[in-house]
Amino acid sequence: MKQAFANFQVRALAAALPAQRQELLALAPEFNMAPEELARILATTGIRTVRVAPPEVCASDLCAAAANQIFAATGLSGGDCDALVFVSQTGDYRLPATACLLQHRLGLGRDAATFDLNSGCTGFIHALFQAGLLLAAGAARRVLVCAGDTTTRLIHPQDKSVRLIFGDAGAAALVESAAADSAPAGFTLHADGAGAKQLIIPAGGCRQPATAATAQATPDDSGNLRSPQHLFMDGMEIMNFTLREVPPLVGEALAQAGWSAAETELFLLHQANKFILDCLRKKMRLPPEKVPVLMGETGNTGPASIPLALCQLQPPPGQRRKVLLCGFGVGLTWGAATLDLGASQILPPIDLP
Amino acid sequence: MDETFRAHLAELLELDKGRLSPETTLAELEGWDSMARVLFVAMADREYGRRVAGKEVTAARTVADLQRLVQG
Repeated sequence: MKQAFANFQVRALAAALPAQRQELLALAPEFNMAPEELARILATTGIRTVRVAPPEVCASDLCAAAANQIFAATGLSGGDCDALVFVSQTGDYRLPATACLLQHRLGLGRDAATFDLNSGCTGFIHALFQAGLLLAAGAARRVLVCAGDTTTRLIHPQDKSVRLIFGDAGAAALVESAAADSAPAGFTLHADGAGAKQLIIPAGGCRQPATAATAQATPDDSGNLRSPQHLFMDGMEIMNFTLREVPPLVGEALAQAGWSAAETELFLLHQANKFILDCLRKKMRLPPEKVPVLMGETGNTGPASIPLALCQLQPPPGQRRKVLLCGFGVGLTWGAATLDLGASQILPPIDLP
Repeated sequence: MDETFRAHLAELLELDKGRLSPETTLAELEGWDSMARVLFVAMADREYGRRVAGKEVTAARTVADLQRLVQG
Protein backbone atom coordinates (compact mmCIF):
# COMPACT_ATOMS: atom_id res chain seq x y z
CA MET A 1 0.00 0.00 0.00
CA LYS A 2 1.23 3.47 -0.88
CA GLN A 3 -0.27 6.70 0.41
CA ALA A 4 0.88 10.29 0.71
CA PHE A 5 -0.72 12.57 3.27
CA ALA A 6 -0.65 16.30 2.64
CA ASN A 7 -2.02 17.04 6.07
CA PHE A 8 0.53 15.42 8.39
CA GLN A 9 3.00 16.92 10.80
CA VAL A 10 4.92 15.31 13.65
CA ARG A 11 4.65 17.97 16.35
CA ALA A 12 6.79 16.18 18.92
CA LEU A 13 8.60 12.92 19.68
CA ALA A 14 9.67 11.50 23.02
CA ALA A 15 10.93 8.20 24.45
CA ALA A 16 11.16 6.66 27.91
CA LEU A 17 13.37 3.82 29.13
CA PRO A 18 13.21 1.73 32.29
CA ALA A 19 16.16 2.67 34.47
CA GLN A 20 17.39 -0.89 35.10
CA ARG A 21 20.29 -1.88 32.85
CA GLN A 22 21.46 -5.37 31.95
CA GLU A 23 25.09 -5.43 30.89
CA LEU A 24 25.12 -8.29 28.41
CA LEU A 25 28.75 -9.28 28.99
CA ALA A 26 27.80 -10.06 32.59
CA LEU A 27 25.60 -12.88 31.27
CA ALA A 28 28.61 -14.99 30.24
CA PRO A 29 28.48 -17.31 33.29
CA GLU A 30 24.71 -17.71 32.93
CA PHE A 31 25.22 -18.86 29.33
CA ASN A 32 28.23 -21.03 30.19
CA MET A 33 30.37 -18.98 27.86
CA ALA A 34 33.87 -17.62 28.17
CA PRO A 35 33.70 -13.81 28.31
CA GLU A 36 35.78 -13.58 25.11
CA GLU A 37 33.28 -15.79 23.31
CA LEU A 38 30.36 -13.63 24.40
CA ALA A 39 32.30 -10.45 23.64
CA ARG A 40 32.73 -11.65 20.06
CA ILE A 41 28.95 -11.97 19.69
CA LEU A 42 28.35 -8.56 21.24
CA ALA A 43 30.87 -7.00 18.86
CA THR A 44 28.79 -8.34 15.96
CA THR A 45 25.38 -7.37 17.30
CA GLY A 46 26.69 -4.03 18.55
CA ILE A 47 24.49 -4.36 21.63
CA ARG A 48 26.31 -4.11 24.97
CA THR A 49 23.45 -3.18 27.32
CA VAL A 50 19.68 -3.42 27.30
CA ARG A 51 17.09 -1.84 29.59
CA VAL A 52 14.79 -4.18 31.48
CA ALA A 53 11.41 -3.08 32.82
CA PRO A 54 10.69 -4.29 36.36
CA PRO A 55 7.56 -6.44 36.79
CA GLU A 56 5.34 -3.51 37.73
CA VAL A 57 6.21 -1.53 34.59
CA CYS A 58 4.43 -2.19 31.31
CA ALA A 59 4.94 -0.75 27.84
CA SER A 60 1.97 1.53 28.50
CA ASP A 61 3.79 3.05 31.49
CA LEU A 62 6.83 3.82 29.34
CA CYS A 63 4.62 5.31 26.62
CA ALA A 64 2.66 7.37 29.15
CA ALA A 65 5.90 8.82 30.49
CA ALA A 66 6.93 9.74 26.95
CA ALA A 67 3.50 11.25 26.24
CA ASN A 68 3.65 13.32 29.42
CA GLN A 69 7.04 14.61 28.37
CA ILE A 70 5.48 15.74 25.09
CA PHE A 71 2.60 17.45 26.92
CA ALA A 72 5.02 19.30 29.20
CA ALA A 73 7.14 20.43 26.25
CA THR A 74 4.25 21.55 24.04
CA GLY A 75 1.85 22.90 26.66
CA LEU A 76 -0.80 20.54 25.30
CA SER A 77 -2.68 17.87 27.21
CA GLY A 78 -4.49 14.61 26.59
CA GLY A 79 -7.68 16.58 26.16
CA ASP A 80 -6.18 18.19 23.05
CA CYS A 81 -5.83 14.80 21.34
CA ASP A 82 -8.70 13.43 19.28
CA ALA A 83 -7.37 9.91 18.99
CA LEU A 84 -4.82 7.57 20.52
CA VAL A 85 -3.07 4.76 18.67
CA PHE A 86 -1.09 2.30 20.83
CA VAL A 87 1.20 -0.08 18.97
CA SER A 88 2.80 -2.93 20.90
CA GLN A 89 2.96 -6.67 21.34
CA THR A 90 3.00 -6.36 25.13
CA GLY A 91 -0.25 -4.67 26.06
CA ASP A 92 -1.40 -4.52 29.66
CA TYR A 93 -4.15 -7.11 29.22
CA ARG A 94 -5.51 -9.49 26.58
CA LEU A 95 -8.46 -7.12 26.85
CA PRO A 96 -9.37 -4.31 27.15
CA ALA A 97 -7.17 -2.55 24.60
CA THR A 98 -4.32 -0.66 26.21
CA ALA A 99 -5.29 2.43 24.19
CA CYS A 100 -8.42 2.65 26.37
CA LEU A 101 -6.36 2.51 29.54
CA LEU A 102 -4.11 5.25 28.17
CA GLN A 103 -7.12 7.35 27.11
CA HIS A 104 -8.25 7.38 30.72
CA ARG A 105 -4.79 7.80 32.20
CA LEU A 106 -3.72 10.62 29.89
CA GLY A 107 -7.03 12.46 30.08
CA LEU A 108 -8.27 12.18 26.51
CA GLY A 109 -11.93 13.02 26.08
CA ARG A 110 -14.64 10.36 25.96
CA ASP A 111 -15.19 11.16 22.32
CA ALA A 112 -11.65 10.14 21.45
CA ALA A 113 -11.05 7.25 19.05
CA THR A 114 -8.71 4.65 20.53
CA PHE A 115 -6.94 1.76 18.77
CA ASP A 116 -4.44 -0.90 19.67
CA LEU A 117 -2.26 -2.13 16.84
CA ASN A 118 -0.53 -5.47 17.29
CA SER A 119 2.77 -4.91 15.57
CA GLY A 120 6.44 -5.06 16.41
CA CYS A 121 9.38 -3.67 14.53
CA THR A 122 7.28 -2.12 11.75
CA GLY A 123 4.86 -0.86 14.40
CA PHE A 124 5.85 2.79 14.45
CA ILE A 125 5.29 3.05 10.70
CA HIS A 126 1.92 1.31 11.07
CA ALA A 127 0.90 3.68 13.86
CA LEU A 128 1.97 6.84 12.05
CA PHE A 129 0.08 5.59 9.00
CA GLN A 130 -3.06 5.11 11.11
CA ALA A 131 -2.65 8.63 12.47
CA GLY A 132 -2.30 9.88 8.90
CA LEU A 133 -5.55 8.22 7.89
CA LEU A 134 -7.40 9.85 10.79
CA LEU A 135 -6.03 13.27 9.89
CA ALA A 136 -6.65 12.85 6.17
CA ALA A 137 -10.28 11.94 6.76
CA GLY A 138 -10.71 15.07 8.83
CA ALA A 139 -11.75 12.89 11.74
CA ALA A 140 -8.93 14.13 13.93
CA ARG A 141 -6.78 17.25 14.17
CA ARG A 142 -4.36 15.72 16.62
CA VAL A 143 -3.42 12.08 17.24
CA LEU A 144 -1.26 10.70 20.01
CA VAL A 145 0.79 7.71 18.87
CA CYS A 146 2.24 5.48 21.57
CA ALA A 147 4.74 2.79 20.56
CA GLY A 148 6.49 0.46 22.97
CA ASP A 149 7.26 -3.06 24.12
CA THR A 150 8.55 -4.92 27.16
CA THR A 151 9.94 -7.68 24.95
CA THR A 152 12.27 -8.87 27.71
CA ARG A 153 9.17 -10.42 29.24
CA LEU A 154 8.53 -12.52 26.12
CA ILE A 155 11.91 -14.21 25.95
CA HIS A 156 13.35 -17.21 27.79
CA PRO A 157 16.34 -16.07 29.87
CA GLN A 158 18.35 -19.00 28.54
CA ASP A 159 17.73 -18.16 24.88
CA LYS A 160 20.86 -16.34 23.72
CA SER A 161 19.39 -15.72 20.29
CA VAL A 162 16.97 -13.17 21.73
CA ARG A 163 18.27 -12.37 25.23
CA LEU A 164 21.28 -10.63 23.69
CA ILE A 165 19.12 -8.59 21.32
CA PHE A 166 15.92 -7.23 22.83
CA GLY A 167 15.43 -4.39 25.29
CA ASP A 168 12.43 -2.51 26.68
CA ALA A 169 11.32 1.01 25.78
CA GLY A 170 8.30 3.19 25.10
CA ALA A 171 7.90 6.20 22.84
CA ALA A 172 5.25 8.70 21.86
CA ALA A 173 4.63 10.94 18.88
CA LEU A 174 2.13 13.76 18.63
CA VAL A 175 0.87 13.99 15.06
CA GLU A 176 -1.31 16.85 13.90
CA SER A 177 -2.74 18.74 10.96
CA ALA A 178 -0.07 20.54 9.01
CA ALA A 179 0.08 24.00 7.48
CA ALA A 180 -1.05 24.14 3.86
CA ASP A 181 2.42 24.46 2.37
CA SER A 182 4.00 21.61 4.34
CA ALA A 183 5.78 18.76 2.62
CA PRO A 184 3.60 15.64 2.32
CA ALA A 185 4.28 12.52 4.36
CA GLY A 186 4.64 9.38 2.26
CA PHE A 187 3.93 5.84 3.42
CA THR A 188 4.65 2.44 1.85
CA LEU A 189 3.47 -0.72 3.60
CA HIS A 190 3.94 -4.42 2.89
CA ALA A 191 2.94 -7.66 4.57
CA ASP A 192 3.63 -11.34 3.93
CA GLY A 193 2.17 -13.83 6.34
CA ALA A 194 4.09 -16.62 4.61
CA GLY A 195 6.88 -15.67 6.99
CA ALA A 196 4.70 -15.74 10.10
CA LYS A 197 6.58 -18.58 11.77
CA GLN A 198 9.94 -16.78 11.51
CA LEU A 199 9.10 -14.42 14.38
CA ILE A 200 6.41 -15.88 16.58
CA ILE A 201 5.19 -16.85 20.02
CA PRO A 202 3.45 -20.11 19.07
CA ALA A 203 1.37 -20.73 22.21
CA GLY A 204 -0.78 -18.55 24.41
CA GLY A 205 -3.18 -17.28 21.78
CA CYS A 206 -6.30 -18.96 20.53
CA ARG A 207 -4.59 -21.11 17.89
CA GLN A 208 -2.56 -23.01 20.51
CA PRO A 209 -3.77 -22.11 24.01
CA ALA A 210 -1.34 -22.03 26.91
CA THR A 211 -1.18 -25.28 28.85
CA ALA A 212 1.20 -26.87 31.32
CA ALA A 213 2.79 -28.59 28.30
CA THR A 214 3.35 -25.38 26.33
CA ALA A 215 5.11 -23.91 29.37
CA GLN A 216 7.85 -26.55 29.11
CA ALA A 217 11.14 -25.25 27.76
CA THR A 218 13.28 -27.45 25.51
CA PRO A 219 16.69 -26.76 23.97
CA ASP A 220 17.09 -26.14 20.25
CA ASP A 221 20.05 -27.29 18.10
CA SER A 222 22.13 -24.38 19.35
CA GLY A 223 21.41 -25.09 22.99
CA ASN A 224 19.01 -22.19 23.38
CA LEU A 225 16.12 -22.92 25.70
CA ARG A 226 12.57 -21.82 24.99
CA SER A 227 9.01 -23.01 25.33
CA PRO A 228 6.19 -22.47 22.82
CA GLN A 229 5.11 -19.57 25.07
CA HIS A 230 8.36 -17.72 24.43
CA LEU A 231 9.41 -15.57 21.50
CA PHE A 232 11.09 -17.49 18.68
CA MET A 233 13.12 -15.72 16.00
CA ASP A 234 14.59 -17.58 12.99
CA GLY A 235 17.82 -15.61 12.68
CA MET A 236 18.82 -16.85 9.24
CA GLU A 237 15.44 -16.39 7.63
CA ILE A 238 14.93 -12.95 9.17
CA MET A 239 18.35 -11.99 7.80
CA ASN A 240 17.33 -13.27 4.36
CA PHE A 241 14.00 -11.43 4.57
CA THR A 242 15.62 -8.16 5.61
CA LEU A 243 18.28 -8.24 2.90
CA ARG A 244 15.69 -9.17 0.30
CA GLU A 245 12.95 -6.68 1.12
CA VAL A 246 14.43 -3.59 2.78
CA PRO A 247 16.57 -2.22 -0.07
CA PRO A 248 13.69 -2.40 -2.59
CA LEU A 249 11.36 -0.86 0.02
CA VAL A 250 13.71 2.08 0.50
CA GLY A 251 13.89 2.50 -3.28
CA GLU A 252 10.11 2.42 -3.47
CA ALA A 253 9.72 4.99 -0.70
CA LEU A 254 12.26 7.33 -2.29
CA ALA A 255 10.55 7.04 -5.68
CA GLN A 256 7.17 7.76 -4.11
CA ALA A 257 8.56 10.86 -2.37
CA GLY A 258 10.47 11.96 -5.46
CA TRP A 259 13.68 12.06 -3.41
CA SER A 260 17.12 10.92 -4.45
CA ALA A 261 19.23 9.04 -1.93
CA ALA A 262 21.69 11.92 -2.08
CA GLU A 263 19.16 14.53 -0.98
CA THR A 264 17.69 12.31 1.74
CA GLU A 265 19.33 13.40 4.95
CA LEU A 266 18.61 10.46 7.19
CA PHE A 267 17.72 6.80 6.72
CA LEU A 268 16.41 5.85 10.15
CA LEU A 269 16.08 2.07 9.99
CA HIS A 270 14.56 -0.06 12.72
CA GLN A 271 17.42 -0.60 15.16
CA ALA A 272 17.51 -4.38 15.03
CA ASN A 273 21.26 -4.85 15.53
CA LYS A 274 24.47 -3.33 14.21
CA PHE A 275 25.33 -6.21 11.88
CA ILE A 276 22.11 -6.10 9.89
CA LEU A 277 22.16 -2.30 9.65
CA ASP A 278 25.74 -2.40 8.34
CA CYS A 279 24.75 -5.08 5.77
CA LEU A 280 21.77 -2.99 4.65
CA ARG A 281 23.75 0.23 4.50
CA LYS A 282 26.44 -1.35 2.34
CA LYS A 283 23.90 -3.07 0.13
CA MET A 284 22.14 0.24 -0.47
CA ARG A 285 25.48 2.06 -0.88
CA LEU A 286 24.63 4.70 1.71
CA PRO A 287 27.21 6.63 3.73
CA PRO A 288 27.45 5.77 7.44
CA GLU A 289 26.51 9.25 8.62
CA LYS A 290 23.07 8.85 7.04
CA VAL A 291 22.32 5.45 8.60
CA PRO A 292 22.49 5.81 12.37
CA VAL A 293 23.35 2.77 14.48
CA LEU A 294 22.21 3.64 17.96
CA MET A 295 21.02 0.48 19.70
CA GLY A 296 24.28 -0.21 21.57
CA GLU A 297 22.95 0.64 25.02
CA THR A 298 19.26 -0.08 24.51
CA GLY A 299 18.99 -3.11 22.16
CA ASN A 300 16.17 -3.89 19.76
CA THR A 301 13.16 -2.12 21.26
CA GLY A 302 10.57 -3.14 18.67
CA PRO A 303 8.04 -0.43 17.77
CA ALA A 304 9.84 2.11 19.95
CA SER A 305 13.17 1.68 18.17
CA ILE A 306 12.71 4.30 15.46
CA PRO A 307 11.36 7.13 17.66
CA LEU A 308 13.88 6.22 20.39
CA ALA A 309 16.71 6.46 17.87
CA LEU A 310 15.52 9.92 16.74
CA CYS A 311 15.41 11.03 20.38
CA GLN A 312 18.90 9.62 20.99
CA LEU A 313 20.27 11.15 17.79
CA GLN A 314 18.88 14.70 18.29
CA PRO A 315 19.52 15.71 14.65
CA PRO A 316 19.57 19.50 14.17
CA PRO A 317 16.27 20.82 12.74
CA GLY A 318 17.89 21.91 9.48
CA GLN A 319 19.20 18.38 8.89
CA ARG A 320 15.91 16.51 9.16
CA ARG A 321 13.83 17.96 6.36
CA LYS A 322 13.97 14.72 4.34
CA VAL A 323 13.94 11.75 6.65
CA LEU A 324 13.14 8.18 5.62
CA LEU A 325 11.96 5.89 8.42
CA CYS A 326 11.93 2.15 7.75
CA GLY A 327 10.56 -0.67 9.88
CA PHE A 328 10.74 -4.42 9.19
CA GLY A 329 9.97 -7.53 11.18
CA VAL A 330 7.24 -9.60 12.71
CA GLY A 331 4.36 -10.49 10.43
CA LEU A 332 6.30 -10.47 8.36
CA THR A 333 5.79 -6.81 7.65
CA TRP A 334 7.91 -4.03 6.26
CA GLY A 335 7.11 -0.37 5.74
CA ALA A 336 8.60 3.07 5.27
CA ALA A 337 7.65 6.68 5.81
CA THR A 338 9.17 9.78 4.23
CA LEU A 339 8.79 12.80 6.49
CA ASP A 340 9.80 16.40 7.00
CA LEU A 341 10.75 16.54 10.68
CA GLY A 342 12.24 20.04 10.45
CA ALA A 343 9.60 21.59 12.68
CA SER A 344 9.26 18.66 15.07
CA GLN A 345 10.28 18.87 18.71
CA ILE A 346 12.50 15.83 19.27
CA LEU A 347 12.98 15.43 23.00
CA PRO A 348 15.90 13.58 24.59
CA PRO A 349 15.06 10.13 26.03
CA ILE A 350 14.18 9.97 29.73
CA ASP A 351 14.57 7.20 32.26
CA LEU A 352 11.54 6.03 34.17
CA PRO A 353 12.54 6.34 37.81
CA MET B 1 38.58 -25.59 -2.88
CA ASP B 2 37.93 -22.06 -4.03
CA GLU B 3 40.41 -19.82 -2.22
CA THR B 4 38.10 -16.81 -2.10
CA PHE B 5 35.37 -18.85 -0.50
CA ARG B 6 37.84 -20.30 2.00
CA ALA B 7 38.97 -16.78 2.90
CA HIS B 8 35.39 -15.54 3.37
CA LEU B 9 34.48 -18.51 5.56
CA ALA B 10 37.68 -18.23 7.61
CA GLU B 11 37.03 -14.52 8.21
CA LEU B 12 33.46 -15.21 9.25
CA LEU B 13 34.55 -17.92 11.71
CA GLU B 14 37.58 -15.96 12.90
CA LEU B 15 39.73 -19.00 12.15
CA ASP B 16 42.95 -19.49 10.27
CA LYS B 17 42.29 -20.52 6.64
CA GLY B 18 44.46 -23.57 7.17
CA ARG B 19 41.77 -25.06 9.42
CA LEU B 20 39.34 -25.29 6.52
CA SER B 21 39.39 -28.00 3.90
CA PRO B 22 36.44 -29.27 1.87
CA GLU B 23 35.99 -32.31 4.12
CA THR B 24 36.15 -30.36 7.38
CA THR B 25 32.95 -31.08 9.30
CA LEU B 26 31.17 -28.01 10.56
CA ALA B 27 30.36 -29.67 13.87
CA GLU B 28 34.09 -29.72 14.75
CA LEU B 29 34.53 -25.97 14.12
CA GLU B 30 34.12 -24.15 17.42
CA GLY B 31 33.04 -20.95 15.70
CA TRP B 32 30.15 -22.57 13.77
CA ASP B 33 27.34 -21.42 16.04
CA SER B 34 23.91 -19.90 15.33
CA MET B 35 25.49 -16.48 14.89
CA ALA B 36 27.95 -17.87 12.32
CA ARG B 37 25.02 -19.28 10.36
CA VAL B 38 23.39 -15.86 10.20
CA LEU B 39 26.72 -14.33 9.15
CA PHE B 40 27.01 -17.00 6.45
CA VAL B 41 23.60 -16.13 5.01
CA ALA B 42 24.60 -12.46 4.91
CA MET B 43 27.95 -13.33 3.33
CA ALA B 44 26.22 -15.41 0.64
CA ASP B 45 24.12 -12.40 -0.25
CA ARG B 46 26.92 -9.88 -0.14
CA GLU B 47 29.70 -11.84 -1.89
CA TYR B 48 27.74 -14.17 -4.16
CA GLY B 49 24.36 -12.48 -4.61
CA ARG B 50 22.80 -15.76 -3.44
CA ARG B 51 19.78 -16.31 -1.23
CA VAL B 52 20.55 -19.37 0.90
CA ALA B 53 17.63 -20.77 2.91
CA GLY B 54 18.18 -21.40 6.60
CA LYS B 55 17.18 -25.05 6.09
CA GLU B 56 19.98 -25.51 3.55
CA VAL B 57 22.55 -24.07 5.94
CA THR B 58 21.32 -26.27 8.78
CA ALA B 59 21.55 -29.33 6.51
CA ALA B 60 25.17 -28.61 5.55
CA ARG B 61 27.63 -31.01 7.22
CA THR B 62 30.95 -29.98 5.69
CA VAL B 63 32.74 -26.95 4.38
CA ALA B 64 32.23 -28.36 0.87
CA ASP B 65 28.46 -28.42 1.49
CA LEU B 66 28.59 -24.73 2.37
CA GLN B 67 30.63 -23.91 -0.74
CA ARG B 68 28.07 -25.72 -2.91
CA LEU B 69 25.34 -23.48 -1.47
CA VAL B 70 26.97 -20.39 -2.93
CA GLN B 71 28.79 -21.80 -5.93
CA GLY B 72 26.69 -24.82 -6.86
